[in-house]
Amino acid sequence: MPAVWHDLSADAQDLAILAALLSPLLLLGWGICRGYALMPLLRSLFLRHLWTNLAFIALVAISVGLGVGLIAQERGLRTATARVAEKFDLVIAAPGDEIGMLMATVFLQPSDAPLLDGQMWQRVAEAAKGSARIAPLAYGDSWQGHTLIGSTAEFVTHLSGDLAEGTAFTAPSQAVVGAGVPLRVGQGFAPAHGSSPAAEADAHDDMTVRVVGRMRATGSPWDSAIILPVEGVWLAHGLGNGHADAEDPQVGPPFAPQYFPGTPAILVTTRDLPTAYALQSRFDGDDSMAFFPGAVLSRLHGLMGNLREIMSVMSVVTQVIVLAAVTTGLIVLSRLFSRRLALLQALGAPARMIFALIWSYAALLLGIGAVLGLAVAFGAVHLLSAMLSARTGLLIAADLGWAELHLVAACLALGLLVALIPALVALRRDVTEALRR
Amino acid sequence: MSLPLSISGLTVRAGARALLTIEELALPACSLTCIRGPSGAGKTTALHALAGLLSGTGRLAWGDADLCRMSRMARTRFRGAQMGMVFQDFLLFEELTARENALISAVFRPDRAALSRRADALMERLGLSGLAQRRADRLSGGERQRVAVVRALAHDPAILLADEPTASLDRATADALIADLAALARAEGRSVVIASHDPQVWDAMDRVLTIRDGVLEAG
Ligand SMILES: Nc1ncnc2c1ncn2[C@@H]1O[C@H](COP(=O)(O)OP(=O)(O)OP(=O)(O)O)[C@@H](O)[C@H]1O
Ligand SMILES: [Mg+2]
Repeated sequence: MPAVWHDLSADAQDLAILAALLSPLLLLGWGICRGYALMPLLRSLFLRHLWTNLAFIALVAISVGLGVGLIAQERGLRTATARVAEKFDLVIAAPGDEIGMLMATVFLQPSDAPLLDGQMWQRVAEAAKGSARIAPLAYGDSWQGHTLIGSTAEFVTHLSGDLAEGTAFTAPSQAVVGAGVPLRVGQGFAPAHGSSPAAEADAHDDMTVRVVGRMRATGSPWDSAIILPVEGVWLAHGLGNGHADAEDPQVGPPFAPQYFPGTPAILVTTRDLPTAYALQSRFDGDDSMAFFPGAVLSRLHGLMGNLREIMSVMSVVTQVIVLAAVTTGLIVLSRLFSRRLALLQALGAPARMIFALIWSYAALLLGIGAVLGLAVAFGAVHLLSAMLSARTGLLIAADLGWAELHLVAACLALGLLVALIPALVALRRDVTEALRR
Repeated sequence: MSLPLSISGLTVRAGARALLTIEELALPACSLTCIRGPSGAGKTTALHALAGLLSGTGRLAWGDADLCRMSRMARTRFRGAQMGMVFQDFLLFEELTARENALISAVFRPDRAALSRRADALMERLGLSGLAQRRADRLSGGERQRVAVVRALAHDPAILLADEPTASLDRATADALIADLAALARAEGRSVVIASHDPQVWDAMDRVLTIRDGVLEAG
């Protein structure tokens, strides 16, 4: 049996799980309703309390939809962040908070960080020689809310591959912009100190940077970033150009350690894992901190995983509460229908038919609610994705998957099971009593 | 095939209280019988007992079938096969059309084609053809009562039990309905028991029974 199971494709396994969740109750339902043509009575029941029925359906749809939507959203967020972090093998920074550094270097969240000096740069450069490539990541400035990063042309290629437009920068006053930055190639702009809204007031008036290229879209916060040579950032702050010759028009490494103004972070890209681990253990110490953004992110995801579990439990609890409320409501509604049920029994309707009618009525409401819940989840996921993308610049491709379908199927199965209760209650009512009322 | 009724020593109780007592009663097959009595005397209770909706002690037999010795399920099956019932306040499904109401027992009866043929014929006979697609909540009282009659007779039962079928109708409509019920019963060989305090109904029946304080006696 397990062998057969493992031979199935992933989709076939998921489909089998879905069938396993739903088929017992559908089979039970078929057994209960077999031989009856319940449609007119169901229509009557549905129309009789139309608004209440619609409210029940909406209640189920919203509770299922939000629960499922949040779970799908969380997964989408995880994949999106992991995808962005892939480009960042190893980050070396001044000792401090890894998560803050991860947010600043990978996700470009504004932060103040102490600088690594020229000696540190030199040590990293020597250690990496021949086995890894390094690039400074100097942030802190902005233009109209777009983060400015001082780095190298090699880093631009690493991030985006070919440029979508234009060429790489070759001078300190040139820049390459992310796909989402509203600057044309050839256009000039004046960078500002810092990244707060007040930054504009403190603009580097004396400096104009010209856009020479545009990167391809990466679906990351880097799409709204502007990258310029690190020399450009240093010069704007009056710190020189990091080279021995202050007039050197050349941009990019090597830099002269004694003239190196500093960088908050160094990105290290290695060819293989052992090199990465060797560099990490060498530079993770008292003078500097070295961390794998991917690993820090997994730790964060682990935390989010706990959150997800709490969320799942909460969503299950919500759904159980909604189910209980709807069941109670259905018992009350079918009570309002009890004279007509008694009439049917007086006409010779067997008990199984009364049971079948109330069960399928409840199942219908819950089923429609669950299916609409999927639609609500779909809408919620896309709305949340759009909102989060707008806020973080992350392209979140959250979508409903098998896991969500299974969850909805499980909810529905539970609902069909719970729907047996109003049916049983309806059966227990005394026929003559009901006829007299 | 109509069924004779024979009752002896029947008592129907609610708790300690005897709701209905019938010492001895025999009705031949195909008879039209009226049960009369003041309000609260037990007419509805008697009809429910005859339908097997209430269980009692003693003997209550339609033909060979003694309802007192049958399980609830067996009584329901017997009722479905042999009886039709009409209630004082119609009890139609307001959201459905006249025809859907007339055919409501098709929900659980397997012989749907025969049922709908008969229901259509009955609707025509009772002058309801033009109203077949009208929703029940748009029908007049007389029209509703006739739909209820078609519903009770669509499966051609051997027994018809009707509880005050003319109570909410005007004189002419009431007379027409009773005449129709009687004619149909005679034509199709059916036993009919009607509970009514309407003297016009008594006149149209073969026999009248009186119930007083839960005790049913002939005459
Ligand atoms: N389940 C019950 N428990 C106790 N008393 C009951 C029960 N069912 C009926 N009764 C009582 O039995 C008596 C007969 O009721 P029933 O409805 O049969 O009268 P009826 O002759 O049909 O009256 P009406 O002409 O007003 O319809 C009434 O006093 C009623 O309150
Ligand atoms: Mg009565």
